[in-house]
Amino acid sequence: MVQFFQYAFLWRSLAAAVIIGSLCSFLGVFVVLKGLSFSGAGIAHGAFAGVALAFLLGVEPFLMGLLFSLIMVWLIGLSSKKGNLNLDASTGIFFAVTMALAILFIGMMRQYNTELFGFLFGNILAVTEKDLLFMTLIGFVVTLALIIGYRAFYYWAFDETMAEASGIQVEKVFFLFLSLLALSIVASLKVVGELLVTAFMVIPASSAYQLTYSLKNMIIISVILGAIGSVIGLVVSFIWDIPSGASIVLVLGLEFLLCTLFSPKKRHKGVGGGDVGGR
Amino acid sequence: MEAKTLLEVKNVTAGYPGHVALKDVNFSVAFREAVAVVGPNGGGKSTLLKVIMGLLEPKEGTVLFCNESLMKNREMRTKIAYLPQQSAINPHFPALIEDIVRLGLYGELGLLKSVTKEHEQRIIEALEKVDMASMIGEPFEHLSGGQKQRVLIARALISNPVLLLLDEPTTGLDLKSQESILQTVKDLSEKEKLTVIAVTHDQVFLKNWAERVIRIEQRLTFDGSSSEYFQRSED
Ligand SMILES: Nc1ncnc2c1ncn2[C@@H]1O[C@H](COP(=O)(O)OP(=O)(O)OP(=O)(O)O)[C@@H](O)[C@H]1O
Ligand SMILES: [Mg+2]
Repeated sequence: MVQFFQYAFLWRSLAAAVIIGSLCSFLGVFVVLKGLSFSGAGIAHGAFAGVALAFLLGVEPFLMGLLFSLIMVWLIGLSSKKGNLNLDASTGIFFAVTMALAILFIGMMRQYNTELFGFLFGNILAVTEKDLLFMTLIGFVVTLALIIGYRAFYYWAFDETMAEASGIQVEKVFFLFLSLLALSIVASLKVVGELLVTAFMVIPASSAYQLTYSLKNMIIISVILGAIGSVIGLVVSFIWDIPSGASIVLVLGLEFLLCTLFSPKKRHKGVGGGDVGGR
Repeated sequence: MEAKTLLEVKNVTAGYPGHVALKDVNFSVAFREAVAVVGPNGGGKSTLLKVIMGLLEPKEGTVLFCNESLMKNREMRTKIAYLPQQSAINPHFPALIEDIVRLGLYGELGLLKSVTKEHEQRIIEALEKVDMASMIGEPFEHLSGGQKQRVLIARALISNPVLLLLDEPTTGLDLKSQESILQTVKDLSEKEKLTVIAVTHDQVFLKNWAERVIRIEQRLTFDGSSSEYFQRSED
């Protein structure tokens, strides 16, 4: 434990865990309420295909990941809004296509690339100063957008038709949210990896959901659980020498179990059985 | 003397890509009228409300609200409140009743203007109008279907609308909840002097509240007083 704090790379990992843990669990609240976790997984696949291509071509992986994930957002979004496909089906198509692309790119590489596999499974201990800068920047932009747009995201998450009738351009909100999701997923790849990033978003939000009846509190609790879980997961991964993505997700899972056990909602029988306010 | 006209629907044809839902529909509504819209499933009732709301632009014809077109004058939309057909609302959405009603202030506050004491007072008043003020701090998910619907009506009322559009407000509710919605809507028509247009299949609702009935089956197939409507359907 003492050695833990002696290394600069560990401080960097810790900072990355806190930033990504909070960011993902903030967005995760809306992902859970809108049922967008499969779209999140699809976007992550797209991002990974971009990263794989970047390694093949020898260019910056983050930029290629961003490009691919944003293209993915538009493809998924447009085919579900303009075409006659539901979101699930359109995500499913591009989910498979981008995975196939990633496999193709990996197959074209001459040798096994450890760094690339860090993006698949997460390798938080390999976070560099540049990565951390990139994560901070994205974390700042996404958080700012969520805070400024909070009322619109809230209304959109509650009911799209009512939001639209109140003057919110719900289609724009939808695309904006998916784009913020894409940015955050790309920033998270090195910390948790493409395969686990959706869990990273969904678990803290679902845990928070067990504990509160207010959206604002749900966000605050989710962010706290996400950040704490990531830090504990990181420490555990260092001590027992297991992959960081896996250990963080396991800690988050444990948090979920505890929140469910202590959820006040489970015990609640409902005051609304009869029409209390009726005359 | 003719009552003052609030809403005019003139020769409206509207629909979706590849589908005409409304064809050449004409009618007008005076201030304080209580109008029920009836018709078969897929007849175009919800489409009619969307056109009135200015959410769907008619292919032909115009809708005038206080002599203005809502497609041109978007500000006017805040004077119309709209409760959509039982939508895909998550019944367990994490929000308190006051949070839901506060959403209705969006048209006024936008993203950034802060909520004042006066706004908070209006939240209470809107809940009083639907007889839900005593439960203001309760979680939304603890409410019965009828109570939820009344809170959603309060959300619509908070912008002090002139016209209230309700799309099947009692569908899917138990008898007791249906009655409480009927009572709420009657109060809004009678005490609050609101003009209300409600799509409904509910006979009790028609008999006890509606003054006028409009039947839509792509075209307007009936427009008259509710007693005429019942006479006709008995023949
Ligand atoms: N968003 C849409 N895109 C395409 N077609 C639509 C859309 N909404 C409605 N329609 C079609 O337009 C027609 C009228 O629909 P509308 O919802 O207005 O009927 P309704 O009278 O409200 O029916 P219900 O009683 O079932 O609510 C239907 O044939 C429907 O299939
Ligand atoms: Mg309808």
